[in-house]
Amino acid sequence: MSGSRTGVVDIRLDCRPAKQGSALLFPYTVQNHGSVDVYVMDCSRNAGLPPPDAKPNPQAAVVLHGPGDDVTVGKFIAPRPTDRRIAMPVIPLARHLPPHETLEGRLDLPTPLAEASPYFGDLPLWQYEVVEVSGLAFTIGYWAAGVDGLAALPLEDAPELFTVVTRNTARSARLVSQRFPTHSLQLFKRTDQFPRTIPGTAGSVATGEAAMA
Amino acid sequence: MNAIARHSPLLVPGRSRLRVKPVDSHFTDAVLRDLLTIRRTCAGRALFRRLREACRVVTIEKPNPPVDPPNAWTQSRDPARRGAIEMVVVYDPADWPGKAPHSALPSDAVLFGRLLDAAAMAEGSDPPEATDGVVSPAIVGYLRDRGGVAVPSSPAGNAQP
Repeated sequence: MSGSRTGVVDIRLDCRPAKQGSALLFPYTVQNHGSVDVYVMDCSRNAGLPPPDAKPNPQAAVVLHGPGDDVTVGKFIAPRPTDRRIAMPVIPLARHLPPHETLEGRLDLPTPLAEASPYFGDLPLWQYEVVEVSGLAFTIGYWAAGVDGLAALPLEDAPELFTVVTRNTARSARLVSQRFPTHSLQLFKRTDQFPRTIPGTAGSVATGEAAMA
Repeated sequence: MNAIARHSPLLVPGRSRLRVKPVDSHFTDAVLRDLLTIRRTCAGRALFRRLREACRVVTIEKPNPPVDPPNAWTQSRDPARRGAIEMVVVYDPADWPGKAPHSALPSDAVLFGRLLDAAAMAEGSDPPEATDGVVSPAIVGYLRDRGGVAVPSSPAGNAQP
């Protein structure tokens, strides 16, 4: 729980991961127990594609090694590359979550897990190293209304989704996580200059009860 | 040699400090069109002069593999060195303008911005980080100089607080 200028921010994440075939499924809910509206990161948009392929993609995920021996998976602002200057920062589209309401979502990821970011294309297989992770931190990013001059613009073709802008959109983002201990879960870790420091303020980290295979 | 390149010695492959990696003819033609559009402006000619001073060579490449959502970037071929080095600009003109408000720039303005970053990086200065929804003053100036296109507005322009 944390405070903002206009009220209390208290966001809770509840994820029940499961395995189905070769995919990891992350059905989750985000509950707003605070007193301020929040905007929860949900989709990326295939900005350069013509309709209908320009639909928001709720399965776009960031996957990166860390912290420690864990892997972090979820919907949040990807760390910016350090080896290049990018033209357009990639900021997820968000859903509005008023106080005392709950939002449902689901993320499906194929296994083996591989590090992924909207700023990097896939590497050839030989440019990954396989590491075993000891835990998986399922993480969702959000912004609190009224913080850092936040403004939210609904999309014309999907008014339930918002483009969020603040004075510093990446830095004012917050994170909520749920950690699951894992056993024998492998990650394909990139060997290029893949950045792994997540922007934003870390919020609550809950521990999931069910260990993942 | 490409028909467009014949009209501009600046762009002749192999003799220029500005090179286009020839992935396919559509890509090469579109990049050359963007370069010629840039060259028609005062800001563009000034930028090319800066690049000639600062960079040994600038290579323009298509993202391979592509990223999702499409993006563009500038990087050094040899990040450890400063000075007259090779810079790489990665973009695909076919990706621009995109559908989202933040990607509404025309492809030549995207290339102009990446070449500005290349010049700044080769000169040893850190260009400012791109900011979500904000078009840099240099690109706004270029678009005014270029004419024929409205400067895209910030997505925050009509936002609800």
